[in-house]
Order: sequence, then structure tokens, then C-alpha cells
Amino acid sequence: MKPRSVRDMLPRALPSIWRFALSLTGDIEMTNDLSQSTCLRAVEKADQFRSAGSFEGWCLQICRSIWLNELRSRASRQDKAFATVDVDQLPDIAPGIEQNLFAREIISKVMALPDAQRSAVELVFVQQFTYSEAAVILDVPIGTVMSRLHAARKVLRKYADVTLGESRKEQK
Amino acid sequence: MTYSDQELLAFLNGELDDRRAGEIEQTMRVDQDLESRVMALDPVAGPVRDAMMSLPGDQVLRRIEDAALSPRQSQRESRHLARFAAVLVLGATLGAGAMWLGTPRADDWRGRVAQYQSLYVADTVRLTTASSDALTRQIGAAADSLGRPLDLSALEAPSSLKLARVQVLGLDEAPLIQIVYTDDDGKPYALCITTGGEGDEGSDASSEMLHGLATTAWQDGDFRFIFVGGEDLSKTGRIADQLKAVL
Repeated sequence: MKPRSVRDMLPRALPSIWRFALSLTGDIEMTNDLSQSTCLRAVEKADQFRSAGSFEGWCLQICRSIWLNELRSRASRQDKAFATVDVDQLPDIAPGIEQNLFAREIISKVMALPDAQRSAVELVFVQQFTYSEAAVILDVPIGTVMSRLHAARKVLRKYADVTLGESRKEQK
Repeated sequence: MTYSDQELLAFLNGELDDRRAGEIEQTMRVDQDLESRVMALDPVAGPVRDAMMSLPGDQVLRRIEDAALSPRQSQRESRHLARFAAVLVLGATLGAGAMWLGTPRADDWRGRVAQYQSLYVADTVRLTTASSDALTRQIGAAADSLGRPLDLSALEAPSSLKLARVQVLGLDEAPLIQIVYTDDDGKPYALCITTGGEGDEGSDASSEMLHGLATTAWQDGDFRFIFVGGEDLSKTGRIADQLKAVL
């Protein structure tokens, strides 16, 4: 694929890239920079993308790869730990006050998850990649994705859509 | 191997014994339908998705697009990567608070419509199908809200589906018209039309899976359309083509 085609496709993929970057870094400034770097690298590697595959999945693999390289580099420099997302910085993100508070609370809980669980949650719960697709992007066995989600689900269970679950139980 | 929804919910909630849970995990690795069912049943995923999808705001996206995707980006690339490394070291602050101040992207409307539609089951349509007279009134009211003519014969263009109901909903400040269909098996589908926004659907239809449903979206002037339902993207694409030709 030509660089220009990839550049044209990136704006649509950018929200996914940004959220995945946030799930990796847990830090707002790093997320913006990692997102930018991912876009630049994707254009640079445009000829490696095969149109039969998932463009977003390909971008997220690039994102993760850049992040791992930076982590290795950072480890060698023994940098300080990153700041984590301050949920108090969250603005009104939904139409109603109650919804805002609910969304804010959920985002806060997601951001407080361990990095590995957070990335799995972002890919499967939010971006709706299948377990196997998420396993490819994260370069881990599918069972690892499932166990990370299982652990995350325990923390996030209080936010479960009880209505959905109950109605489906009743259907059976 | 078949599993009930109740059993799969128990699996998701960690309430199954290890042997049975392991069996489901193994089956999911080879059975994509089961994997899709489990994902759709997950009661935690929906609320988490709704909350997280509100991020990031438009301001953040525009800033990144400007920085990374402008025509001169290639000249800036090496400089940018160096800056990324520098930021890692220095922890520079770049107005983090402002980065959260955006609103959901305009094209999230497709996800919101798909999520709403995902709550529909066969009974939803069966129990609310309008009579012929009511349907005529509903179409008239929908056309008035939308500010665009809607013709019964055009809405009945998809020959494989039966028109069931039309209702006026709202999406932010704009009207959202939902035209509900059902197929011979009772599976629900819908054509939704809204106005305004800065949708990037374009006049060419684009298809994608959202919230477990196949969707095909397109734009015609100030109006945005999405056809949603089932799991077959080629089917929503075909029906969207039929509707595009007559609407």
C-alpha cells in the first residue's frame, strides 16, 4: 500500500490508536506522543501493510512495538516511573451529569488496572477485537488474554450491565 | 458442544468449575461463533466500552493529525521521534488537562446506533410492528422531523426484508429516524437517518462490524445513513445499495 493511502486511512484509526496507546502508557502526554509516532511509523512502513488484514490491528501492533522499544530504552536509562492518569483532569464527557460520573468512575477503574489487563480490556471490551486478534496484537497466547480479561472483569464487575445479563437469562 | 447463555454468563463471571471453564476456553479457540457469543454476552464490556469510547476528544485528535499527518510530516519525522524520547526522559507537560476537554467524535454516531440496535431481539419487532395506517403516519412524522421526503415504496425496496415500524429518535441535537425491518427469521434490522454533524461517511458506502452487528454507512448531502443488523457485512452492503438507489 502507498504511504498516501495509509495517511488517508489513519484519521479513522486514530481514536483506536490513541486509546490503545493510553492503555499501554497510562500517561496522557506519553499517549499523545506515542500516537503520533505510531502514525508516522505506519506511513513509513506503508508498503508492509497488506490490505486483506485489519488496518487498525496493524497500527496497534506498530504502536506496541514502538512502546516496547521505548520501555527497553527507558529501562537502560533507569528513568523514573511515569505519572499515571489523574482522573480529576477528566472533563464532562457525556451528556448527563450522572452519566459523566459513571463514565469517569469506569475510566478511573480501567486506568488503575495493571498495564497488561488494561491493554486487553481496551482491545477486547472497547475495540471489540476477538480474543485471538487481541492475542496477535499483544503477542501473547490467547489464554493469557482470557486470563487478563478474567482478572479485569473481577475489578470491573460492579459496572456490569445487569439488565443485559438478566434479560438474556430470561430469554433462555 | 452447546452452551446456554446462562452457562456462558457463569463462565464470564468466574462461577463455573475449572473443568467446564477450561472446556469453554478450548472450544472458543476453534469456534468463532462461540467466541462471538461470549463477547456479546459479556456484561462488563458494554459499560466499559461506552465510557472509554468518549475518549479522546476532537481537540486531541486534531492536534495529533496536524502533527503527524500534515503534508510536511515526513520532514518532521526524525525530529518528532527524537522529541518522543526526550519527553520520556524529561516528563515534559504539554497541557494534559486540555487534552481531555474534547467531545465524542462525530462518527461515533454509528457505534451508538449499532449499540442501540444490538438490544433488539425478534420479539422487539414482533411486538411493535405497526399497522399499515400507523406506518403511513409514522413515515409522515419522520419525514417532517428529518426535513426530507420519505416514501413508503422506497423504504420497502429491500425485497428480502419486511418493513415493521418507523420512529423518531434523537441523536444529540439532531433527529434520528429509525426504520425497523425484519427478515423471514425474525432477525431485526434498521435503517437510521440523521442530519448534520461532520460525518466522514462519504457518498460511497463503508461497512464495518460495530457492537457485534454488521453496519453499512454512507452520506448524501446533509443526511447520514446507516443500515445495521445481522452479522453479514455483504448483506448490509447489498441492502444499503438498494436503499441508496431509491432514497
